[in-house]
Amino acid sequence: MRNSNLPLYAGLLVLTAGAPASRADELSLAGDARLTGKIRSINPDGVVELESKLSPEPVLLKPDAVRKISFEAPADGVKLPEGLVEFANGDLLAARVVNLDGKTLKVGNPDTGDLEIPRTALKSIQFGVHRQKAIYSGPVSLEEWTKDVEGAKNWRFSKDRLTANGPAVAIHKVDVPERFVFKFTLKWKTSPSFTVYFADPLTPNSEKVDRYFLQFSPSGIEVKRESSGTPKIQNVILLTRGPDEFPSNQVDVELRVDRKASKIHLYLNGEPEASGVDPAEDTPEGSGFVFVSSSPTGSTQEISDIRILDFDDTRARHHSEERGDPKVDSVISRDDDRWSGHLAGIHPHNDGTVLTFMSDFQEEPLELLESDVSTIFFSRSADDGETPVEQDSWILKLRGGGSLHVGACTFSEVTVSASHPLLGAMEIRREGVIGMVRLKPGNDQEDDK
Amino acid sequence: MIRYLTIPWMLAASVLMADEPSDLLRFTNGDQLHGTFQGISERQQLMWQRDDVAAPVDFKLEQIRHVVLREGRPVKPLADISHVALVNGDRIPGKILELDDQTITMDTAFAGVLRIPRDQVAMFAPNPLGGRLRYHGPFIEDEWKMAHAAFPEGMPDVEEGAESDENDEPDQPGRWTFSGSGWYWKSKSYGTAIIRENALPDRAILRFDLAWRNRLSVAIGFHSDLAHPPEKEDGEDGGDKPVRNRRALGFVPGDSAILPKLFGNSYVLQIFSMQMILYRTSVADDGTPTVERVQINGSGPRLGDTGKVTVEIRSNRTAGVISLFMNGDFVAQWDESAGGDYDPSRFGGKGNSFGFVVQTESSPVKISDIMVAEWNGMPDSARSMETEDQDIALLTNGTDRFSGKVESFRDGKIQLSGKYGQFVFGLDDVAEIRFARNSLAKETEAPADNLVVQLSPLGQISGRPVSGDAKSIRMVSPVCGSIDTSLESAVMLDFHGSNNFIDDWDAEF
Repeated sequence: MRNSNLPLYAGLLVLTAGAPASRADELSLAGDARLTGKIRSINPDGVVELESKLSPEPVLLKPDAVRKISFEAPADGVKLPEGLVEFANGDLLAARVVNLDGKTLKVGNPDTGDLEIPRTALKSIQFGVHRQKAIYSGPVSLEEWTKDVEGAKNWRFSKDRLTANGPAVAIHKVDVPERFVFKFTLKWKTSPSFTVYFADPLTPNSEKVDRYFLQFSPSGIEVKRESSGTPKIQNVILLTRGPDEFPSNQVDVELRVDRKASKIHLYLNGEPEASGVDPAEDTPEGSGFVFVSSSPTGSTQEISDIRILDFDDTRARHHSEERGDPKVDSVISRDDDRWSGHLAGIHPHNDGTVLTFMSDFQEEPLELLESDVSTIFFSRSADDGETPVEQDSWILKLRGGGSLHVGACTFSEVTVSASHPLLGAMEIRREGVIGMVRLKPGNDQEDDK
Repeated sequence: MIRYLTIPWMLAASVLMADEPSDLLRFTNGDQLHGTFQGISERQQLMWQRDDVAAPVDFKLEQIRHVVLREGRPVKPLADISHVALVNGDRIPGKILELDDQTITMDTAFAGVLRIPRDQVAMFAPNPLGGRLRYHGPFIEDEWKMAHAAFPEGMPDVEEGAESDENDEPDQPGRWTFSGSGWYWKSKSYGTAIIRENALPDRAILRFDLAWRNRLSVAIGFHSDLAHPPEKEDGEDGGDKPVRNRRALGFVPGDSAILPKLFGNSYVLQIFSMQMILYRTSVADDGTPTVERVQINGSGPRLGDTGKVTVEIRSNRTAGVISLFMNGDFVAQWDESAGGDYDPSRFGGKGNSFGFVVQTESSPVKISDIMVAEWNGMPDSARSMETEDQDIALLTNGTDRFSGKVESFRDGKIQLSGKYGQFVFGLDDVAEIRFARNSLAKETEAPADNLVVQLSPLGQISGRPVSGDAKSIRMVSPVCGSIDTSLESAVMLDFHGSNNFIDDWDAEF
């Protein structure tokens, strides 16, 4: 394995961002003990060297003393590759596939540079992992949400957000598919009082309507189904999380709406909270989105970062499929086809990266654009040998969903130098490392997720 | 309630053909007769022979519900379960000879060569279920037993002369009723299981049709060892046996505590209209029954009040992996080893039996078309593929699937034209081909005089009966034309096998 152009990436970083800002690393020790500082190294024996303002000399922490290290979240701005390479030992790395031949896969990653990975070290690749088709992003103007709407007068638009001072209604229609993701941020001054309707047909002056709504009040968060039949209102999700649990008076809401399966998944601040099934016979077909702020005048409420995306979990579903015969490669297309055979190669082409695949049921090889492919499973044979397992090691958490088993590490201002059981020595941009978790010796399981 | 014909010659009859299995004739009014099926006359009458009458008796076809041949046992079961499934619900076993844009030609063991319009064929399965068929039924009542928490070893026989399906005695558990090729639960009570013992391999596909009225609450036990807590001495738990039995009858609807008493060490899937739960039930050495919930990975069902669904459970008992499909769509998966605590001794299923129990009041249920096959272990995620515009070929390896248009079958190979080129498959590689839904003919209601011939181990063919004898029947199929159907592999002639399942709920079926 080589990572050939990390200095270039690192140079770019210095040129564009200047010297990295001072970052506080947080170490979780046994019990609730913790230390902050700057990690300098982790030697092959597992001793962690921490530079701390609390001590004139670096603090040397014994093996097993540190459970977890969290690095300060890096700044946004790096475009993450849309591929996710899975190694034979289960490690993951977000990567852009450059090419593949009979022996080696070449990938690029902004934090590791280009890597050459032996084919025998590969388990799978997922494509388009971070690609989510945006359908709407806003708000971009007051008129967009308040045109021809009664109750719009209390809205104000500034800094890409809608602010209500008094009861207010905002409405927008967006053509959404059967499955979509609806994200927004709610902010309140004293006590939240929001109702957010979605999949709403926006039928004027009708009491009979099929739609969903999220209600956030001091008693908690609820997602409900309003129906034109009976019963009129039915619960989908009930959460008792009141505003006290959001001390900054703000919450990021994400609703994953699957009208095909009649399911809604609720995420708050990026964490999954609950899922619920629409109890009605049919699902609402509307495309309207409505924000209702019911707080009195003087108690302002804000709505921002409204995003509506295509809800596509195809890749996750494909990746969780049964591996099947491990002696052959398998390719799953975005259309759900799955073929077994031999992946002869991947190479750049004018139309994009192209996979050449020999199916067991075709004489001519298949030429597949990467954009048509969801998942590749790589074959493994007995000749590939056992996957090496690092004892007494760490999992390095990388941005973009990466995680790598490593042994000894050294840290500079710009890079982390580590030893990977399949890739050997490698250098990773320090900003790309978001955390480290200690593995129990002899037990390949995370100590603390 | 089943009534018996009261004509004089019937009263004289006692035992019929003790050595050879007799046929059973059921009428639409609930009457029934044992005897021998002699055929169908051109006057559209069914000819029936009994030892106690001099000549065969003729019965009007419109008065006949069905005939169970040879107690559900075929003279010669079909050797091959390769088949096509038609839009009208027929499943025609046979080997494919030709396929083109217009027609699929099948060579059948029971009716010779049949030419079937392609738009009538919803599915072709050269190697159905991805494994070996172990059971298809129910056609024979004796292969099943009933159990209840008060009678875990089996329900007592119905007393001579008692109304055999009188289910609603307050101190007696209800009973399942066997009719034709289905088990019916029409009691107002709940809690009696219908069980088939020693029928499920360790890696199994269990598929069945479930129809219900009102709110659905049914539990399916599988990989059950039917171990039961030891019988307690009188007074040991504060009551004598009759008292305990009455308590057992008093279980709250949906109560999962009843499940280990019915199924022992087992997996039990509870299906409600909007929810489902998988339990691991167990009976400890000291007889203590326990019920644990297994975490789910997937969505819940959306089943209304009254409906019909084809349920398929794919389970690997030793690996603790269970997948659930409904109407061919993936619904959920459970993995006992998920979470890292891999301990096969804790996995639920310990046996090879399965069964069904209704768990709520006034919830009639019908279980039919039950199939058990060995499973190759693949969850077959391909089964959830949309098939509106594309034909889908699912391969026997359980993972691979190809979409496109099936062009032809020639030289023993299936040709499929896909988005990415032409593919050629040998028949041995293909489990199923599902034809694009929008290329299929519309399903039409079966005519009133429709006859469905049920075949063993798998298959059914329907048409209007024209004539026939004890060995074969001529019928006219709107799909295949005139067919001479040998009855060697047949187990039932269903004269009122409407696709409208509600018909089966007539109180006096």
